[in-house]
Amino acid sequence: MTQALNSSSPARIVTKVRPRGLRPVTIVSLVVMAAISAMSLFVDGYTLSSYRDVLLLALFALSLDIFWGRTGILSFGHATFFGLGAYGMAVTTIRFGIDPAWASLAGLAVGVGGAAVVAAIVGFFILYGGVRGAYFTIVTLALTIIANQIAVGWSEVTGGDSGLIGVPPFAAFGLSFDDPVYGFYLAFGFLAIFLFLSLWILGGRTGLVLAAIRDDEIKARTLGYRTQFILLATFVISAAIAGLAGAVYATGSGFVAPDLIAILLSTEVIVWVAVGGSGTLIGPVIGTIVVWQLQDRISSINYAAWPVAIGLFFILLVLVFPDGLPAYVVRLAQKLRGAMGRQS
Amino acid sequence: MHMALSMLLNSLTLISILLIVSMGLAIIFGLMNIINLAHGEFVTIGAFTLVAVQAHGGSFWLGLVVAPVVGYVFGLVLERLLISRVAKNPLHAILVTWGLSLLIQQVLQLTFGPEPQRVTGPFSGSMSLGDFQYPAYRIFLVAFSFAAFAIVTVALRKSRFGLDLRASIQSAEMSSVMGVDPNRTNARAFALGAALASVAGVLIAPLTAVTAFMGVNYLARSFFVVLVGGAGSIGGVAAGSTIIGGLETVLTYQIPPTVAQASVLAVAIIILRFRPRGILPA
Amino acid sequence: MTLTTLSLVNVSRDFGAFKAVRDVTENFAPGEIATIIGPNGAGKSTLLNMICGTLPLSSGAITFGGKTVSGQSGDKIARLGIARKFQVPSVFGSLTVHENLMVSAVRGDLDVIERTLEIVGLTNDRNVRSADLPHGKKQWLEIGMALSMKPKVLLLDEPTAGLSVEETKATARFLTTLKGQVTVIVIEHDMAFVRDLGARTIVLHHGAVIASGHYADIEENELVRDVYLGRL
Repeated sequence: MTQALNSSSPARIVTKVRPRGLRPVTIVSLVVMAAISAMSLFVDGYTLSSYRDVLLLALFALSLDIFWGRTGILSFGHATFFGLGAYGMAVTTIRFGIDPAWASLAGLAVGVGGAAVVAAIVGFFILYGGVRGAYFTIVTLALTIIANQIAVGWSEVTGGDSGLIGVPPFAAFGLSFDDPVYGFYLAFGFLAIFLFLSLWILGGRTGLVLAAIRDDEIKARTLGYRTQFILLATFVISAAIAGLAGAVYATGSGFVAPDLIAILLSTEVIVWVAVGGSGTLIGPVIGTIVVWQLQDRISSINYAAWPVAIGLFFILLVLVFPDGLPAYVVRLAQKLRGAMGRQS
Repeated sequence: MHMALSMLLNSLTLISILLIVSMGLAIIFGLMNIINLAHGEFVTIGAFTLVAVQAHGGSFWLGLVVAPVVGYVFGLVLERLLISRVAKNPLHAILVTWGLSLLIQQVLQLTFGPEPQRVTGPFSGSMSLGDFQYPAYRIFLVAFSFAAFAIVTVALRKSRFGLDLRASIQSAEMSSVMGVDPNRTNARAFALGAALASVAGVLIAPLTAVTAFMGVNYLARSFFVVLVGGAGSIGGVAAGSTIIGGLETVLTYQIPPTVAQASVLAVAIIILRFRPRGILPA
Repeated sequence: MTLTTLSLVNVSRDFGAFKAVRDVTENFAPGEIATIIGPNGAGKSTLLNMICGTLPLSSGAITFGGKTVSGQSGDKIARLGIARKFQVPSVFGSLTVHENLMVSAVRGDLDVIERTLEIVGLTNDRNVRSADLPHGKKQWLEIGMALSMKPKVLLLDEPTAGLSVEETKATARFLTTLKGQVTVIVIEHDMAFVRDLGARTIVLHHGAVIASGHYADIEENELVRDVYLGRL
């Protein structure tokens, strides 16, 4: 009867799973991105620059979600990759006296490449060794702690505690993005590209395979999947995107410092993803924007208040909203609807 | 010759510190499979207990006695209130304990101020062996740590609690069927881990500046000790401490400390590749 | 579809002093259906685990189409065409029936998936979350997933566990139709099922093959009877 499995017509190879039309998450993404780009018309240059920063941090959150949201393995060290991107860009464009027309692209290559290489090496040893879950998280945590110490300690290259200033604005193919509007659209462009690209790819069979590996890795291997390689590739891609976000971030702000490659940043990005809802891709983007506003406000009141707030947030997050705020809100809404339904 | 001797003693110092810090973590991780990211903060709490004791005129020895009590109580309360709720979910445990560590750091900083605190050790001066001199306090530290390690190991083997603990590490279900109360065992194990880390904090305090953030350094290293050595086994902790502590000390003689630590990380990752459960797992 | 022979030569597995499988030598011809029976602890699942690469051999070799398969990683063996259904139904719980098949089917071929759904009778359940399926349907889904790989060898570990009498008969009927196209090796305890299948039967006891032949002959075999102590 397996001959019945063979058909006479050529096989319809599939990448998409869903029926015709856009998925809700894609629609939400389009609306959100449209709103963001519309907002840019109503604000001044200074605010636009901070929006640019937020969008790059949102890209960073997206990169974590691509890995954590799909494989279920938490990386506590994504700031390492963001920071490597930023420092890679900074060191390349400042210390080597490259022709300004090229410098940003070279910096980008170094930043993204550096992040990808570190992820590939660390990931190879850990993932192929069968390390998953908690152990994986600890190793990435240690990676960030050490990367931070290197950033602080290797001052000849990294500028130590004070970091490096003078990262030139992003410039490529004759265009310079120093104008706040251009800078904003550069960030917006990168975010949009990677958001929709990942929505597309992860919405298809690739996403299913990752979900399968997450459910039961052994079973996935019995189906023939090279699961370690797939996990490694996802990790490296996620790291590369984080590196890209970091590299462009450095060109926007103009300087890098060790707090770009620190545990606190790693935990912040986890918060952004968790608040938005891990696995949804657009959720973390929204989460970053929302939380960052809060972060900004609280930090300006009292510098120490932010770590306390984050600490409390984590504790609350786990005790009250284990699935992320949106899921909690959805459940609340369902309960309300249920209650109202019973009344009528 | 003197170089070798002082390198050996420096290694032993770091190994001893890691031994005490990691022992508690090994139990917590081995038994409850909980990643306690606040473990470094227990060390800090121990150090600050000593600061507080000495600020009120107490001696180092008093601090050494009070700190583990403080640590034990603190650990007990934390376990019952928070940790027990997240024990089933490693991600939640990570987030909660990380949040806790941030809170503890800030509270300590608010209470004691941002300036580094100094404590005085019980011995100043050096011991001499021929014309070789070595700080007496460090020798004390090594001796004390080994003794503490031995005592805790024996206690775990002989005592009722130790038996319950080791049985629960082997199989939580089986031991509960045999009458071991898992909640009590978990709570006491966690508290014991916290107490041990606090003792380590007291021992470390005279060697360094006591700040609210000193724990982070020991967090990464102690996790490596447990991962590389093997979670849930005393032998694993000894093996892990020796490797991590020894390697780091030796390397620091040749290369800058940051590169040394990165190298230890690299070695640990490579070991994990081939021995994902550690060298001497339970 | 070219099929090949699966050969086991002196395959053994020890766990310390305990010999789980001893010197098993068997050849499975392409398209053959074979059942492996034996009391609990006889080593049946261990043997299956070694064929699909989950467990390494202590000694001996397994070849498939002339190529050595023993010692390869599980995913590599799967790619060579050896599919497996586990004893405890394992499907990807968070995915729907259709999505499970999307993952398992060769290149995600939609036609293969549709036909598989028909064969295992899950066409109407395509959008049900597989974790929510009743036990019997999970078994069928798992079998379907294995089939959708278009394997050359299908290893089934107790496929009728938890199934009703009707479902068990249907399974036997279905497996018989695979004869000639897929090499099927089934571990079973349900003797009615084994009888229905009426295939070459290998009897394992304490890790060694004590009898091998057509089921009708095995049923008569004195030694086998003793081993089962009249449980047949």
